[in-house]
Amino acid sequence: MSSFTAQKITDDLTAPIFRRPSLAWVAGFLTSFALMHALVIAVAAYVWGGYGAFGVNSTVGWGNDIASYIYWIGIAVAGTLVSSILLLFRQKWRTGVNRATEAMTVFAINIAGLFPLIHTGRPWVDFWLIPHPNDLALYPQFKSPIVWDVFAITGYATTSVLFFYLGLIPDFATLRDRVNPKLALNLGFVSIPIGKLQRMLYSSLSLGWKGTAANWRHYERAYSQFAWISTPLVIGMHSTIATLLAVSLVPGWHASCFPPYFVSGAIFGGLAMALLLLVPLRSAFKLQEYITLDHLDKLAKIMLGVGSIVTYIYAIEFFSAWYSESQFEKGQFLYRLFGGHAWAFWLMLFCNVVCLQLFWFKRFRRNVWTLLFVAFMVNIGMWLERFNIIVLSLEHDHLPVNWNHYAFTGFDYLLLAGSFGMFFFQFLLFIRVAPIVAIAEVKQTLLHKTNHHA
Amino acid sequence: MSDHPRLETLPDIPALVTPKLKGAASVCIVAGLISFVALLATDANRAWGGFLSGLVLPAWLSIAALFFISIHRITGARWHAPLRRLMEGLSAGIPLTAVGFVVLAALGAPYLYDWFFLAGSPEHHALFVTESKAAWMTPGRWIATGLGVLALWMFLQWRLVGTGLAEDGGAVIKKAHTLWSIVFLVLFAYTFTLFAWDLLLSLQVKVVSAMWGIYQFVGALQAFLAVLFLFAHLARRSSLKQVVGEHTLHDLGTWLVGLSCVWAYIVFAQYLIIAFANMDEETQFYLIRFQHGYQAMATVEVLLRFPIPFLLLLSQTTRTNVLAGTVAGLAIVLAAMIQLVWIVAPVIHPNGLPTFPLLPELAIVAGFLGGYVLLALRFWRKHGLVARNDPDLLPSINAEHLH
Repeated sequence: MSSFTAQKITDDLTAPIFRRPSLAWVAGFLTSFALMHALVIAVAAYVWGGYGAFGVNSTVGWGNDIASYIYWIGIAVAGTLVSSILLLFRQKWRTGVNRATEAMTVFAINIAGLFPLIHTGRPWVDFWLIPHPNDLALYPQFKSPIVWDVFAITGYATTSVLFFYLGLIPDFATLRDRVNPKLALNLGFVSIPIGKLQRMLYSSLSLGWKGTAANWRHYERAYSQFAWISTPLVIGMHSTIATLLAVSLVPGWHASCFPPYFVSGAIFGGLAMALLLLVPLRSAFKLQEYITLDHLDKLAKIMLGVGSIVTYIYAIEFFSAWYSESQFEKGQFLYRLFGGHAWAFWLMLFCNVVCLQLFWFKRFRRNVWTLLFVAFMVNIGMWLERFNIIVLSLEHDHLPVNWNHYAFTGFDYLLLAGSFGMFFFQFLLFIRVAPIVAIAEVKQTLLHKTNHHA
Repeated sequence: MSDHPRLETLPDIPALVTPKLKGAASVCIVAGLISFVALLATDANRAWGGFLSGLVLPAWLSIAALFFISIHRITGARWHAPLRRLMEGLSAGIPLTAVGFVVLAALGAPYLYDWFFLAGSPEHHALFVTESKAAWMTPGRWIATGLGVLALWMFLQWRLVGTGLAEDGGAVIKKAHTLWSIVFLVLFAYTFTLFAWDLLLSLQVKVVSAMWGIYQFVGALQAFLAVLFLFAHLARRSSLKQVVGEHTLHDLGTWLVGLSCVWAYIVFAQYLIIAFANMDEETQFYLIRFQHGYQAMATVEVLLRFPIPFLLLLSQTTRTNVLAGTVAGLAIVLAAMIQLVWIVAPVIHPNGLPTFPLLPELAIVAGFLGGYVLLALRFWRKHGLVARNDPDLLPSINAEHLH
């Protein structure tokens, strides 16, 4: 282990912000920016032509939008959960990964929030979901599980943004102090004082942070309290979404194991996304000393643990369906195995169960290519899991007259691809304005370790 | 946060002398036996119901102990090193369940399970809609599965704990212990679920809950931690005074608070989904358990399982307090006993029981718990209270993992 100094840590972790963007970053940024427009096109087509722009039909009224919504919510859940739980359990290795996972949460949740708004069919009256007396003096129907979503998402988004922002405050102060105020972009006819603008931005965001003992005392207390609040909130939020499905009678949805199933699935998928972000990031920005193979190894181990829980629940769902003797439940699960979208089920099993088994071996957990491969496959698998739950259950419900095949339209593909574009666009933008590894927390951990060893 | 000076070498650990505890455990066993025999003479269904409630408890606690040993091993956790031998001792209850299971299978099962009683008769098939489930719910399959699962658990306990004990002789166990931990963790979830469905859920053949295995397991984990918490407090008063520090108790208390929350979450989620969906084959589980006085048991159990330990142990200072820890631990253990009676008794007497609140049944469960405690004490007498050669022991006692 190289010896760390405060100066070195600050230099290393702020370098991605103050140096010129690399070609890889520019290429990634432009690609994701372009891809994000796929979402704009899809939404425009839907606003113009109505909900029929997507592949939903009279039976399968919940399609890509709800599957993608749950997928993105899952990604969002994992970020805060990993960060806050590791903080509560005093796991110091979290400092290598917590900023990236928290950022992932914030960007994923704003994408997730888009889908229910789209799903309402008339997004221009979505404000009716807000519980305030409207023109007709009506409040939302609180007994409707759909309304639970609104509270779950807004509550979770607020807390995760605050948790994320709070952690950033000392780092914004560091950036404020490192900005070169004389930096300017001279366009010939006008000079843009970039340095001053940057300093103004970081000064505002750092809320007058001075790094005094009082600052740190309040900060640490607030940060740990947010972790206490976030953990049950995040579990409750995703359980609410699971309950929304499970309280219905649709075969394939109504299973009492849904809340822990969704939460473990969310952590599983979210960790896969975190690996997908962290592995290239550490190479691109030369952060191997801060996001180490040990960090990736630990994330892979947690993935293996929660992935095993997910596998167990897959098995239990089938066993319960058989044990229940309900022809509808059994029919649903046989449909998943052999029906029109059976490929989606088998591919999900391959991605989430088979590929995951590589993580039993240390050499695969410490190999960046295997990590990337498994993380990529699990992301596909987790989206497919939501597709299987939502679409396949509706395709094959109680009444044979309702059995209908669901197919993506071109706009569905654009919507899905655009959501990934929007996610990576936000993430790539973020790593140019704030450190992707928490400087203040890394200093506390690594400097302590260095001094301790000395 | 350490409450004692830094240790450079491990002191001599005196044996755990607990004549009162031994006496109490023996009294529980005698009370359990008397209750069982008395019930057998008056109402055999009740006697076997209490017997079933009691027999699963040692296995539940033991499996939870093995789970904690394994999970700490594969995650590389070091804080628990002073408690590892206590955990190993608390995994010694599986043979008690195995003996109980054999007795139940030989004598008591027909009193409890309709499908067992009717096996071989035409009425047996009438209980089921499908042939495959009728074939599954037969005494032969049930006994074979139960014995197989218990044999597997005893084998895994022998390997896992045996490997841990080999360390006392100077062996380096990390690799083998990790391997057996992984094998255990992969197998236990499925076998535990199967066993819990077979013994408890199958009391009502139509009831289904995909959460059942998780629900039982989380309850077992919480109850085990409570037992461990109580023994840690007890041992700290005498033999393990220098070994179990405040920081270790604090970590254990944190686990207990966490598990109490998880238990509440699982119970609420299962109840909400079943109640909201309002399907016959599911709601009947709660219907018979929420009337004729059984709802009082449910309420007491929930209060003892969640708000009391949560509020008592939430503060960092009370987490290491002997009184708070003892009250919380005893509350959870009592709740675990009540829960098992609450699951079984309403099936046997859905219209309520003449003697409420089921004291004879609770006495039988306490009898099994007493047997379990004696087995654990025997283990510690034989193998000591501390895994002396655990390389993480001294660093953990000195709270090095916190720096």
